[in-house]
Amino acid sequence: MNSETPIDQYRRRLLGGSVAALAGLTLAPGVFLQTVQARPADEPVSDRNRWGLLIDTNKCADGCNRCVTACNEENGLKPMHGPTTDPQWIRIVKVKSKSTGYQFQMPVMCQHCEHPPCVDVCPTGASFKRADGIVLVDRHICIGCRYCMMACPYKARSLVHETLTDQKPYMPRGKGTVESCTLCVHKVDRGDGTTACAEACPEQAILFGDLNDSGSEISRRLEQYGGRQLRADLGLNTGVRYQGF
Amino acid sequence: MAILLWSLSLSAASDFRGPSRDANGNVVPTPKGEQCIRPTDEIRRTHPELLLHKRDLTMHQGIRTKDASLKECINCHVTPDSSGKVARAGEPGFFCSSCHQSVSVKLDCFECHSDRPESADGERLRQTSPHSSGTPLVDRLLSLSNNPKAVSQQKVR
Repeated sequence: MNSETPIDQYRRRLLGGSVAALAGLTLAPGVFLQTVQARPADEPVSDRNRWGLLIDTNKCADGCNRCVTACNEENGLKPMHGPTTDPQWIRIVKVKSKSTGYQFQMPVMCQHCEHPPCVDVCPTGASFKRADGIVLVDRHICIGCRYCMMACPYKARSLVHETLTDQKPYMPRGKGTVESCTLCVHKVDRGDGTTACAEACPEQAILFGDLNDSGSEISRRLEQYGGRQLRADLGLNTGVRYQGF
Repeated sequence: MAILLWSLSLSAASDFRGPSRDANGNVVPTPKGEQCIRPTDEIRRTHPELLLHKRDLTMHQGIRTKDASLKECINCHVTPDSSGKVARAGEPGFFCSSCHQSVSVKLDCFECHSDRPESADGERLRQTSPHSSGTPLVDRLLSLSNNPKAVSQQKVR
């Protein structure tokens, strides 16, 4: 019995390590309960926060795409060779009921799932979820295989097909890597407390906030009016929620 | 000890501020700052490890301190030469390229990362104007008045 194979030893270490890590994570929220939202630059992100968006489709005005243009401007997405290959971080999806003819539109971006399929399928570990719930691509290790694009039920990711120049200093992007909405991670880390799309929406249809903070506007509105996940049946627990349909 | 420290800092400082050509005769742009984040001989050896370490911290943990941040290297080291021109990544006068080309190390950071400093000054440098007075403050004001968006960003910060 004591003749443990190296693999068993490895498994034991791994299991022991993850239990220890879990214990640390569960302790942390209690310890830091009273801290304010602005995180010092040298402090790692933690699961005290879960950043998300609440989108009210009733307020989303027909024909408006200000969130898309603001996103493109903020992150340096420029039109290159047409919509088939240009990266797109927010899509305006138009929905129409065949029986009643009622139609509306809504912005769909990366839904920042708690259990992201893009992370499950990534062969290199480039697709990952930050502790605060933001799903990102580490372009340094992305090989551009596009498995994540296939796995994403929301069609949220794009491959950069073209050589890029003059990227924004805070948003490095490059040919041959996959990308998607970062929830304006540079703004979140700066403590802006909003995203470019939320700022730009003339109807305030997009609200950014902390789903883990019961006192935040987003949590209060979700508590009061409820919110829906797109494809909730998949059990991904998305960070982007919708109201109004 | 104090004298030793003083002489060390003096030599490091003079090394840092030194001529605009390195030992291999490459033109090196004069940095904006007074002092590098590490002594010159150390930063020459360890900058790949520093940048790699910081890269992972920033990407995965959201740690965005200025130390060993590529963005801050660019902010300080990418400056106009005597004719007011700012070299792009890959050109011999660009800070990183000046050395990397002479040691034949291919640099692909700038396929994704911006090779220009951030801030309004950076935006201005991108389209170097022949009418620019060369004073950063005037440039900044000019770029602000030309670009209403920059004004609004300025107010936000």
